[in-house]
Amino acid sequence: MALKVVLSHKTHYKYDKYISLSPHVIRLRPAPHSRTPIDSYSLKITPKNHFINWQQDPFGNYLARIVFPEKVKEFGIDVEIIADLITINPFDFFVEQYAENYPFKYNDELQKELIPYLEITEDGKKLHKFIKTLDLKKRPINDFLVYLNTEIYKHLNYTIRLESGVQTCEITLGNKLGSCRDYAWLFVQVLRHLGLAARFVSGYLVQLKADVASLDGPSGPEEDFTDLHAWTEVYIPGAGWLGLDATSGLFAGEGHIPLACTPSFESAHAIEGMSDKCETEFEYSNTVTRIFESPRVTKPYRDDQWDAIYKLGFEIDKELEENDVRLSMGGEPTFVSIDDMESPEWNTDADGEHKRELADKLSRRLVGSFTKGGLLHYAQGKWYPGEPIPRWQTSIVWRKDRKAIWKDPELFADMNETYTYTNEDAQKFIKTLALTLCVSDKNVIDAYEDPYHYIMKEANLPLDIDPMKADLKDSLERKNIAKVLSQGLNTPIGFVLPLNFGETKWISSGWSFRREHLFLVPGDSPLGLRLPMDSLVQKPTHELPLHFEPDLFAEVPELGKFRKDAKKRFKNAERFKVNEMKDDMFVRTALNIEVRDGKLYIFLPPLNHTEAFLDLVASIEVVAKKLDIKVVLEGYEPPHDLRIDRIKVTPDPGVIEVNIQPATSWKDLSDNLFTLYDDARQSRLGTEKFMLDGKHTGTGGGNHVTIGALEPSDSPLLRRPELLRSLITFWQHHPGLSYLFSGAFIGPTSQAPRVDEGRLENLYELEIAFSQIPQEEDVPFWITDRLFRHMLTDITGNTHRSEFCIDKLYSPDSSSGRLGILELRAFDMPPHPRMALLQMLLVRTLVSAFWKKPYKHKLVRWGTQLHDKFLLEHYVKEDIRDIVEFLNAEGYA
Amino acid sequence: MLENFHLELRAAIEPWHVLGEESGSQGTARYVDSSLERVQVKVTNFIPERYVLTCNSVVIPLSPTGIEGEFVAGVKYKAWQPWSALHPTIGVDTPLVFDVVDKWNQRSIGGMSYFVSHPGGRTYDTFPVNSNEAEARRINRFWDFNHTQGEVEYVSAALVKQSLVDVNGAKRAVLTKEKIKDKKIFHFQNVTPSMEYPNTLDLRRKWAKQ
Repeated sequence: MALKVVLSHKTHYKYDKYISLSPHVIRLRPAPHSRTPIDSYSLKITPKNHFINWQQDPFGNYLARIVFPEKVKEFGIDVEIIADLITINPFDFFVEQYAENYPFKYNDELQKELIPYLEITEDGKKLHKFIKTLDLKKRPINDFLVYLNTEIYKHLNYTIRLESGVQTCEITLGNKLGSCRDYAWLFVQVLRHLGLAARFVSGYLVQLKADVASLDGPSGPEEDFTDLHAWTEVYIPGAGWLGLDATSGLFAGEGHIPLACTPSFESAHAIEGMSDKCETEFEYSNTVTRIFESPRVTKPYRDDQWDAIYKLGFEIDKELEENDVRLSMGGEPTFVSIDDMESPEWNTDADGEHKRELADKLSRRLVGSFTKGGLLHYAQGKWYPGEPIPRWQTSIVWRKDRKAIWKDPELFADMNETYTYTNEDAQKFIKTLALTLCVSDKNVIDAYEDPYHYIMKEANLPLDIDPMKADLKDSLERKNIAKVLSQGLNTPIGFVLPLNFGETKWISSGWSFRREHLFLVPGDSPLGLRLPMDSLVQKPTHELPLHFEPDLFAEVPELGKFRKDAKKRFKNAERFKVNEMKDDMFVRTALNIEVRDGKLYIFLPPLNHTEAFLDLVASIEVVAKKLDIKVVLEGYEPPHDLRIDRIKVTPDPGVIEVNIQPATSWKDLSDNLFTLYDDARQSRLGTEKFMLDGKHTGTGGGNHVTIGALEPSDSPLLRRPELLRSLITFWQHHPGLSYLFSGAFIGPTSQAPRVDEGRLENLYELEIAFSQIPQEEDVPFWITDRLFRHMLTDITGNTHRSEFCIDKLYSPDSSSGRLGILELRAFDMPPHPRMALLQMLLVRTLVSAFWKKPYKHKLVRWGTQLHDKFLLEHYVKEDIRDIVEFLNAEGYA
Repeated sequence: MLENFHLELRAAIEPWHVLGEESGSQGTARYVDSSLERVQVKVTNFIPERYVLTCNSVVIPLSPTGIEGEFVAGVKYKAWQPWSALHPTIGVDTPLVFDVVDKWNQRSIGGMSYFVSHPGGRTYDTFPVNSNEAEARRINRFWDFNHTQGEVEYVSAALVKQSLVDVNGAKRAVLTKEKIKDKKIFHFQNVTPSMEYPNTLDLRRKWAKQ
């Protein structure tokens, strides 16, 4: 990142008459040890009639000596500096071993050389008193300097003093008030009293407005700012002169440009000289102007550039609509912690305490910002081989018709809070809920841990292990045994209500077991996943027939209202105490309530009717409200249904992944992304990640872009397989598209290999597949999947690991695999939402262009050129330029 | 900027391929080969008849970009020596020192250096806490100076023998040539251009046994 600024400092004196000026010394040129690179410097003196000599003072500072041969009526000094504000780490040094800790003694030679910088010129009582308050215990020199700097910063109040000169330490300490000069000089004297060599610095301070407001602490100035400033430098062997700015309590960085550094403030004056007596008018100004800013992750585009991008988005929208493309786009952005760069959970591991905490914070925010009356649901996520337990998944669910599913978000327990609910609460809740659902509360049964299992486990433990204890190092299984044994085997751990939805009403049935009680399958998963299903009666008299997964291609009515009905039933339940209802059919699913860690978890049964799901949730809310109990909903998610939308928050190795709901319009797409990035940041989740050597990388989790339609049957890819062909061909022709957005992880064994980064014959086979796309005839939905399924894979045949992934297009396996979605996986997580949106817009534009005019060409056999040329910025840029020309020629300018 | 031309160094992508399976205590694992890195070097206003661009004493094959005097190349090098990686006998080749060699005056007229870790020996044990620290680390690792010293002599590949020399605990490549003992002379060499990767100088190829 490069950011160049012009500092302009103008000082003008106007005299009421012509006067003579003595030779003047001007110290306004960056000192030789300025670490901020100075590209250019200029000093202009008025009146023109003067002589100027450059020299260096005994300390190496640059001085301009100006002589005026004639009387003058004005005197102007204009300084302009072009500086490159690269980031400077003030702590980038190694201290000599003998100086590593305070206190230390300079070696003899240095001691001699530093004499002028050790001279104590102020020895007042207040100064001594202040030094006595300081904690001078032995500690690393860096810590000590930070401490001193902060102490002075905290002790004094800042003021702007217009009069010239520097206050004595006594005055500064007496008033606890000073300007930067006074701070600096006090600090110099304090350091010298403590045996450290110090000097006074006069210089320019530049502070730039930050792109993003800080989440903690002050965000810096509201506007770019520069002024003459003063600070202190201390000499530390091994590090050299270190700048300390007690006015801000910070170490000097790239914004501190030293002009003159001297043992005493007297010899650091910016302008020094005498004049005849006269009336003087004085004017000065300090300005800073940014002249060059390379794009950076917090500000990838200038505002005018972004406005043009944003506007183009709407034009593409119009074209997509005119041509009836019915395109929708979603994505899977991933986020990392902004505070923790080290832990495995933010680098390699999927699960982690901190990750759960942040994911929960984010989810709760998302419920607020994306939904009105949305539902927060904790489900079991995917279970990957090699991981001890399945991953988790938080869903934020809402109705597309914007009617509330869950009215009061306060009734969702906060996972980061502690609660003290008991089994009594759980029992009361489940019985009330049963009655509210108009089923018998007699069917509620207690669930116990299986004592035989745990007695065996306990018996098998080594003699010297306390079965009731487990520590962090123990395996999950050991911890679980200890937990179960210490809570006792004869208390129920939760309650089970056998429950399913019939055609028109809720159905429950009594469950009985050979062992009389319900003993759970051993483990530590939620109760609902540990029900002993194998022990249920095999052939009951009447059993509720199985429901099938709803077909996403079928027509469905609008969703109704559920709350009112639930409230009414709750009231009836109170009045009639209907608990003796007959069971007419046997059900094999159940709703469970369990108290874990003081929180009340409600495990929802699998339901294939969205209506039933919504009714159940509404009933739960009514009961929760009346009993004033905060709940956590877990278990089975609502079925896939086009009438509801959801965002999923899941853990992935090193990141939190957010599956954002697809949006049709550019406006929705951009609103969604801006909201998500902002909510993530407010939850302390960021998008910036760095390698050890400082290289910027993506979060590591990618930002897969999905394209499809709101209803699978509308999917442009299912309606026109030609579109997929066009996209594959275009990406194959332009490797820049693969490598510009991919981040560092590419190639045949990466998460998203190109179609030509795998088997040698893949391009040949793809061309045959292209030739089989039906032309001018009806296209059956299944054909795209069948034609391309085996070519859009990595070298091992993994269908998920492919730049173009059609797993969710029209998979024969399940209804949730037939979503009409194409996933573009070679996109790494862009650090800024505007970058993400530009990438999305590029995809939208190409879809729109290819919808109008399919892109049909032979595939290019890049061979080794692919990794020889296109991994270099130059060739990628050329390639992208080529794409821009193509799009311009197609009319997108 | 050097004389009239402009040298530019940028990070490039190096694919980290999956290595062969290895068995460990917790089952089998497939590591990625993270030993390699790649940079792009671009030069403008260059006069190839007079100057040669070298990296660690090897001539960089420059490809014209279509703009007069502008050339580009990739440099692929071994940056780290993890225990499991391709070609364990080839040592690391860092820092990268780029020189512009003036063939008419027999000297390197300037250059730049790129380090993969802190040149002062600071070890980065932890990831940068924010973008400022990351940027400071990047800035630290690049010097726009430190060309190779001495008079220039071109050494044809056949005369060069590479050997591994222990420099401060790290294996470094050193060129030796029996005939010349004078260390003031800067020898540089060509490696045979690769037919498969003509735009990339692969520094590992200078280690070929002859």
